[in-house]
Amino acid sequence: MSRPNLYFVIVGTRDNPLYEAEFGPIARGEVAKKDDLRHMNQFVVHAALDAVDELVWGTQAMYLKVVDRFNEWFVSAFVTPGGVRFMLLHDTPNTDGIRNFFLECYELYIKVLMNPFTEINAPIVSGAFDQRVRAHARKWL
Amino acid sequence: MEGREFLALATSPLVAVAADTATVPAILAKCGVPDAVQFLRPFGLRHCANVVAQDVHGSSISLDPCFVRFADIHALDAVAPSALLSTLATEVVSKYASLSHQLPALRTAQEVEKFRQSVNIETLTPWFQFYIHLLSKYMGMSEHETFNHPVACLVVVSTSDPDPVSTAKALLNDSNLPPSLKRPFVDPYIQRLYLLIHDAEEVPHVDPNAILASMKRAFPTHLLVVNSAPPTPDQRPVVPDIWSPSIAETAVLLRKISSTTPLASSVPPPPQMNDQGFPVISPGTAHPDTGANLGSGSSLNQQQSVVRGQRMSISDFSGVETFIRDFLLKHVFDRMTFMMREWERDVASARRGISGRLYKVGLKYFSGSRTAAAPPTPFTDQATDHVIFPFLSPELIMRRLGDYAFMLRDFKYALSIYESVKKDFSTSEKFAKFFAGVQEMIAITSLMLTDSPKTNIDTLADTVIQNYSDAKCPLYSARAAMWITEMIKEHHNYRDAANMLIRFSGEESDLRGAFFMEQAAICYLRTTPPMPRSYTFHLMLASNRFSKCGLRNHAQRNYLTTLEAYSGLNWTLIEDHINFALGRQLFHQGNVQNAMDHFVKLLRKSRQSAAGQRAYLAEFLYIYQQLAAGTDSQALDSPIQSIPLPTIQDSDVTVYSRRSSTGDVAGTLPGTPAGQTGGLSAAGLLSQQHGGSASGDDDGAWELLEQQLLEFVAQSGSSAPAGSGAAGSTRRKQPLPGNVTLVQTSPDASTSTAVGEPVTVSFQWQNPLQVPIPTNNVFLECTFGDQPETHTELQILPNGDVPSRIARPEFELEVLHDVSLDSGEKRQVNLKIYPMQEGEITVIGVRYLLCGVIPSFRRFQKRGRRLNDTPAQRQDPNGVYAPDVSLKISVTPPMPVLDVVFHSFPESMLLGQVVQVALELNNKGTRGLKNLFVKPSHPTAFCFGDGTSIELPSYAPILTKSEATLHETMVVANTLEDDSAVALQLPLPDDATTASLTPNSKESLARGVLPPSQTTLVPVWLRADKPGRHSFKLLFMYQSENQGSYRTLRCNLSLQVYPSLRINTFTRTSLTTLNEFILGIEMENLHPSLALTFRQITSISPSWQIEPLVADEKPQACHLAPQQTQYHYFRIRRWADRPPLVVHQSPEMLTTTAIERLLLQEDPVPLTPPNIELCIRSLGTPRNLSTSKSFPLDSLMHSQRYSARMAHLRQQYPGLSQSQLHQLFTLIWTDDLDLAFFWESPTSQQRGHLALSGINLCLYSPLPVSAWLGHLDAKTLIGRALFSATVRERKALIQSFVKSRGSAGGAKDSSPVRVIVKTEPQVTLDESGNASVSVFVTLGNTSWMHIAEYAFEAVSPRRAAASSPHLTTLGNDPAADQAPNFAWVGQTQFYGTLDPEGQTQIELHACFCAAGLFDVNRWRLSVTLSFSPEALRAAAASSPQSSKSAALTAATAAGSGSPTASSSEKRTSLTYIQVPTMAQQVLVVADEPKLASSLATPQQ
Repeated sequence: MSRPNLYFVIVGTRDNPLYEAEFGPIARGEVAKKDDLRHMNQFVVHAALDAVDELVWGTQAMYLKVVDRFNEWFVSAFVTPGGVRFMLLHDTPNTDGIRNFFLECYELYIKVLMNPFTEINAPIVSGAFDQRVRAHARKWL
Repeated sequence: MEGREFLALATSPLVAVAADTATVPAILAKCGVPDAVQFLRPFGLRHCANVVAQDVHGSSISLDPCFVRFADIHALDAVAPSALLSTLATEVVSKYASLSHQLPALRTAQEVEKFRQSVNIETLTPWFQFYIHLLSKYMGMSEHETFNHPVACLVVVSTSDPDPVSTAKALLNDSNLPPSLKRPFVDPYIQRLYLLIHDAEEVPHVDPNAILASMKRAFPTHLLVVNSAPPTPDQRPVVPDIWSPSIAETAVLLRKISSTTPLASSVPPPPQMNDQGFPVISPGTAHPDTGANLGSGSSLNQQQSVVRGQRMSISDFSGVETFIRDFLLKHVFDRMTFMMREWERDVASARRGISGRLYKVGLKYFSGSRTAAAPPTPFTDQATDHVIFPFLSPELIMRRLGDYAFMLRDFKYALSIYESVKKDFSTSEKFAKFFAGVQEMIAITSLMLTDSPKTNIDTLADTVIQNYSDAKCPLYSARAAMWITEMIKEHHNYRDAANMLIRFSGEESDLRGAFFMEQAAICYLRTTPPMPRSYTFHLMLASNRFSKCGLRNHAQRNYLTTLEAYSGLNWTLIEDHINFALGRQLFHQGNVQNAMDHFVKLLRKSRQSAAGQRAYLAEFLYIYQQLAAGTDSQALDSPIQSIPLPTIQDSDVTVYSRRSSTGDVAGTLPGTPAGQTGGLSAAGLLSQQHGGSASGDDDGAWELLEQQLLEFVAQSGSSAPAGSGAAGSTRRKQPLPGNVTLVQTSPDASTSTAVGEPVTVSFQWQNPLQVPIPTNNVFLECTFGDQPETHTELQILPNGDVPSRIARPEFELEVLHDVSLDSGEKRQVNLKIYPMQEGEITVIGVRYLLCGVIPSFRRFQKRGRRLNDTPAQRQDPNGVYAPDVSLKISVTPPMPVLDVVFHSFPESMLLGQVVQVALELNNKGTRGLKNLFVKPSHPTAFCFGDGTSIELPSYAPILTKSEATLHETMVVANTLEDDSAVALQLPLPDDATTASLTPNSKESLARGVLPPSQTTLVPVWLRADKPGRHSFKLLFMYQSENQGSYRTLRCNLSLQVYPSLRINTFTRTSLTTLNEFILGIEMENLHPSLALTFRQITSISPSWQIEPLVADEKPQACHLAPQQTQYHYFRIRRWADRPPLVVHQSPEMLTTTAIERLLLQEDPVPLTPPNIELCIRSLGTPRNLSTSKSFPLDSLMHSQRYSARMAHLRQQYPGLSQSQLHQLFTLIWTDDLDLAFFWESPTSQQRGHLALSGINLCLYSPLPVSAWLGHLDAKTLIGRALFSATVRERKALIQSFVKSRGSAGGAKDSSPVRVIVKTEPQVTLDESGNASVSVFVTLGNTSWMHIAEYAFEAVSPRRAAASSPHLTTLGNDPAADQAPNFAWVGQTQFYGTLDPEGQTQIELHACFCAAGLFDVNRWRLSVTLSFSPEALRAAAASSPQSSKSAALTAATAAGSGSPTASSSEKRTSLTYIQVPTMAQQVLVVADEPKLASSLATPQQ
């Protein structure tokens, strides 16, 4: 079974990416053609923030499910109470897995936040964080 | 204009104009209008108010706004070929490409809202308005719809014509129809109307009305009078100029046509068809009118200054308006309504339900006039392969009916017609275009009717696009998309509109895709809430499409907007993409400089893949080469300076001077391998003051050492006699060189070096890319002094080699040929500068050749320390920084360069071992070296000798004595003085070396100056102080013989110390003798294989001396086998010859008063304790005793004592600084005892000693601080003392002084009075059964500063058991209770006073009345201590504040649980209650003495 292509990004309150990760064939650069379009991942996710901004007022849930789509891509979103948005670009729908993935990532993110030296809206460069996010991605996505 | 109004215009009725070309243009030219069409067209575009038409059912429909289009009958589809139209559009749209049309970069909804309020969004993209109009207006006639088919024809003639009637007939007759009307799908039988234009000036004698009458006889004619206004000198028109815009628009179009196709005149006319629908091939000439059109178009160029409408009068103008209105109402709309009714009756109703069919059947059978001929059927045009419905076919009639209804705004009816005709076209794939056209109209009509039609517009639109593209009509598909979108926008469904546009952007046309994406982006600005990010995203998509279709300016414009919107957000891939695209666009536009700027931004660390980065780099290099080829090299400097490859952290750029030999590493090897003869090179790092940076961790330690050494040098320079306190001491002090003055520059000072000594500039060079980058020919750019910055060129040698140095008169620069960096590699680059002249060199940056192509320059931009002096500086968010000086190198005259080598430095030692090593000092510089100081990091491990001591043994033996004891005395200074820093005295040359020296060198050496390239040896004794692995740091500091500034040399040594002897000692007071202790030693040889001999024990103390336990014991050597443990006992006795104590000069009293001064915040007085005489007593094997008085042992002992003392004091008083400790405490206290244990290894001849410092044999607390200060209120103390400290620190400090009694810190708290009880061990009962014995109690006051007032009471055993809680230990003894007891006889209570160190004896009598074992050690002693008069006198003399403090309220005792304080005394008295701790037993026997003697031994 080929693994789905995924692009996960945590977007800060100023629309700046705090953490980015790619899973699946894109990340390994197996898809040469897609490699040229990696910037599109960022574009699509960034554009989907408009939809998130709109949807977030209509629900109390943090997980907003699929908020936008672009060609064959879906964008799922998760909004933390602090206004940080977790965005996942995926090409196969997997609502529950993504929900779990987001929740796990949220916990990880909270742990990062609890570090007194964390600055709000600063990129997350922790290697441990990256490792764990990838582990969760393997588990849930 | 958008939505309904736009569509009303686009679908307004089209009137074909056939004008007489002979006279009409001439007349109209006077108005400044080229022809009749141009003349009439603007009037049709003016809103005709209150136009009402009738629909097919007879009800009125208001047409507002109402438009009519005029077109030349010969040019009905002049521009139509779609390929041409598309190019044209591209060309024309590109004129809007200037960057002034750049769309705004908007990031947030708030920004968008604000922007929406300030700008009309419709006007943002004029090029799109142009495009959509172009497509709508110039699409030309098509077979599938009738909007561009003329609904009427207007024939224009003028009165200037001699025979207007025949001219009019000739212009349009059925036999000679213009080709456009001959098309099979065009209805040629349209309404015809005739217009007669009269210019009275042209034909003054003609009566227009007569001609009109004659015309009217033939056709319906209308007369228009023009040019009735007289010519005015300024040619100012009296009517508004309504012609210019449309003429200009057409002119532009025509100009484009003529410019895009070289054969301007051969704009392919629409293929002419014959009646059968076959094209008529007539390529000979273009239609003359077309040519005329074009001609007029080109002539417009010259007539730009023509004033439009200049001869029109107001009445002329209104005449035209009236004509148009009448024309529309009476002829066009009426005719349309009429036609519609007819078609409805004939065709439409026939298709509608039963009644319609019946009606049709009725017609068929009852009206004979109408032929029942079969309706015309569609056929396929052979030339174009298009299916064509002839104009009389019911399908096309229906379509036309629908279109007419749409034009007359009867949308409901139109929709029903479209719906019904849809079925006809859906039958065959060949009718795709027709089907698409109808679907398009259904969608638009539905949207005209309601904003939420039942039919799904998206589906309809999809069908339309699909079918149009099946029919290969992309322009129609584009038009349909735009029309539908316009209608959706009309209903403010901008999001739907955006989706629609995105869906229709399609792949087939990039231009359309680009426009649609851009429009979609703009729709996202108009949604509620606005969607700025989608806007940006689609702008980027539009840019991609623009760049694909070659509209670079448009692409660039949108890319710039996008870049601005994403800037600073750190979406790296996006930024890379845009920068790359922009760079390419700019490069293709020839703007190479700016292209470079964008490409430079790509060369950074990003998430881009390696392949992507490689592509970027390759493109960058290519563009650079293009740039380099185009410009001369000087102009290239500016952009290249900013290339961020490779990255350098400016703050990491360091400058330091380092030995010129290559490959040297800071620090030295841990040991010299056996067999290596050269000794241990301490070459290490030659550090210039503050410039050095070795391994970062050690830096702090080195700087601390340097600071301490500087302090030492400064002190010794200013107060040279500081050491004179020890003048009388026998311990040897290193003489200080006189006149040491150091020119110390500030810490910010630049690095300094001497001429000829290279300086290294070091920086970390990192490749942020995942692609290797070759970097060559790296060298520094420097300036000298005030010289201006220059551009140093690397001169490649003729043979192609790169020189290794660049020589300049002031300095030379090292060139590194190849510093290529692998992907992501970090590399430390070290570049040397070789100064050649005195002055100042400033390092500006580094030059290198990047990728073999780009000569690059990277400027170092370091900043100094952050300034924090003023509030402005502190509050500046970016911080204010001092200018950097660390990149400045001051070049001084030549300096000495010290090189040190340790010869025979051991790799490992045993604990305590002392080894002599030789330190070789070598001056490698060119100037003499003087004032050499050294500061070791472990002062206890080093002892530096001088030239005279090189032959001295480590342990000087006293060979002459044969006794086993050695008694010496030594006077030492009692100050705490850190003398770890040593001034090294250069040894005087001996005779052998003198011979080889020049007289100058000899003289220099005599002055203590080491001449250049001279070597000398200094002995160093090394003692292993602690087990484990040690890394010693030695900091050498020296000066040039003719300069004040100093240089330092750092030297690292390491040593492994293995354990040898472990020694535990304990002392215990003697039970039988006052002032005597028993010393127990537990000695263990920890070495696993080496046998050790315990050779000697030495005690050093001002008051005590060591003696054998048994006076006449023969000393013998103690051999300890490996792992063996031995115990030895010695006696410690008061030194009999101790000089009398002067109480106020005693160390304790001096310290106490100093503490009092400190607490009372009085000015500190330097502590000047008198020198103290020490008794040195050594016990050991005869003939082998070592004296501790001689160098170097005394020095080692002293540093050991000092460090032990400081460690103890720091632990006990952590709040005090080192200088405070030096001011408060002395080196030795009166009762201190130091012990040294000497050992040797008989096999390996290793010798060493272990030292135990600071045993205090005083019974009571040596510092009576609490008693001394107890009369001062604790709060007063806290309030008054130490204002500089915080309250918490003050409390802690006072606690450490006052409450140290009994604490674990080591200060003891017990009574100084010792009690020794002696009695007969055994008595025999006499006949009466009684016995009595004398018990002698000796009371001794061991304190030399207290007077002890005592109350002694012999306690009877029973009473003690019953009442005294202090005797609970006895009371708990059941045997004592029940056994027969004894009684004291005679005086049992004694009172008295004991002077300092005084003693007294009391005799008691115990009476026994039964046999047994009795404990007679039953007493209770209450002692009250007060200071002796000498002590008080000393205090009064030393403390001027004491009178003041006496006036203070007497205070309670400080510290809980302390003895009760008597407030009557000035100083607090201490009261102790003492009870016996051990039994003193007497055996009472009846008559068996033998048994008794064995039992009576007192228990020890």
